[in-house]
Order: sequence, then C-alpha cells, then structure tokens
Amino acid sequence: MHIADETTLPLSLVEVGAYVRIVRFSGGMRSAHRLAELGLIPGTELTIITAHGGGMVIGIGDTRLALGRGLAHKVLVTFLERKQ
Amino acid sequence: MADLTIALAGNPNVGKSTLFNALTGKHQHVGNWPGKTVAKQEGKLIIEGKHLTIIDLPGTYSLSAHSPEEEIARNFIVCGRPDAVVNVLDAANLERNLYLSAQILETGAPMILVLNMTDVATARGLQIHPEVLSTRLGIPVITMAASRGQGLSELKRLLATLARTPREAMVGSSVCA
Repeated sequence: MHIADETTLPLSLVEVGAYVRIVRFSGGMRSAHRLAELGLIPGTELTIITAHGGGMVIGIGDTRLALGRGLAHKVLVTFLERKQ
Repeated sequence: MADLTIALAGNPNVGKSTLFNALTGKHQHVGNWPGKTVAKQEGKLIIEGKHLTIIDLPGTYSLSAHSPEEEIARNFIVCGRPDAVVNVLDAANLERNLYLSAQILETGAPMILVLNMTDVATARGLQIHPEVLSTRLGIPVITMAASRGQGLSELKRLLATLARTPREAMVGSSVCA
C-alpha cells in the first residue's frame, strides 16, 4: 500500500467506502484529546462505513465508531489505496 | 466472611457482558453491538466460600466522563472503590484497548487484565504474550475466550485469592460526593 494523494481533507467530507489515514487534527487540544481516547491518532487507518450530513460511522480494525460532524471535521486525512 | 466487589470494565464490545454472564450465571442480554450496557449490572458469585459481587460496567473508551455511560463507569471505579477492576480487552485490537487500561491503572485501583477473544486473535496469526504485559504493567494478565469458556477457571482462581485491602484515596476521588 502506498499513499495515493498527500493532500489532506476533513474526514467529514470523505465519501462512504473510502480508505484513509489520519494525518493531523485541526482544532484545539480538547478535541484532539477526545479523538485520542477513541483511538484516533495520526497514522490510524480507517474506512468510512456510513455518512449522513457530516456525522459518520467509521471502521478501524474490528471497531466501529460513530463520529459527529464537529469531531469528524477536525480530523484531516489523506486517501490510501486499498490493500489488495 | 469475605465479601468483595469486582468491577468489569473495558471498551465497548469486548465481551464484558459475556464474561459477566459466564461468571454469575445470569442471562444479561448480550449483543454484538457497542454500547449495549448503559447502566451497570450486578451479579453474585461464590468461589471457595468467598462472596463476590460482580458489577458489569458500561463500555467506555476513557474515564474522562464525556457521556453518561462513561460517567457511570468512572464514578464506580473511582468512588465505588471496587476491590478489583477486571479490565476486559479485545486481544485482536490491543493497541486501541490499552488506553483505558492506562487510565484505570492511574486511578490506583487493583486491576486484573483479561485478554478476551484470544481465539479470534490467534486465528489472525497474532501472537499474544500475556507474561510480557504482566511484567511491564505489574498486574495479573489472563488470556480468555469467554464465549467458549476458555480462561474462566483461571480468572476464578485468581479472584479467589483476592483479599480485601483498605486503600488510600484514589486519584480523581475529589469528584465523589
């Protein structure tokens, strides 16, 4: 697997089915702290399972997490090519 | 007569309720989706003459109390002062699960780690070294497949050896009423 595109995009704007890696967070320490508690740190790879109006369900390994629009918007990701 | 309180804590969907049912013989609803246990559940277990009260806490990612179920879990661990916290982890996703373990350790609560779903982890080719974790963290670590009953007797043996110990005020206990 290699990076297909180095530019970052807020997670809230990524479409369903995409496979992405977290690059960094925008926003303050508070949201970064909460995201870390959920296991979302730079380098984490995830897929978008469903999305509705900015809120979304993401998959990391076996775990599914629901993220609100606010938090999802603070997560900056880059697209990855799917593992074959 | 010894009377101990044991709390089951861990991330959502790691098998806490499955373990709770296996220990207490209760039939609390177990579902394969996260966040199923919203209030804490209580059950009894008698091992070698010891009466244990087992508390099944809601699944949480942290003790920071961002949501009602996290607050229930945090308040019980910090204010309820269980004699031991059994922290259940998904062995196939250890890295994500250990964040909460670190937080529980920091409260000073006596703790036992249960690496659950080791059957799934092994099927994926993951090698788990419980003795390394145990040495590094300084707490007992048990591997388990609760849905198959593996590791249960080992946990029961360990619980039977627990003694009630008076403890100092725990970190964060200023929130207790």
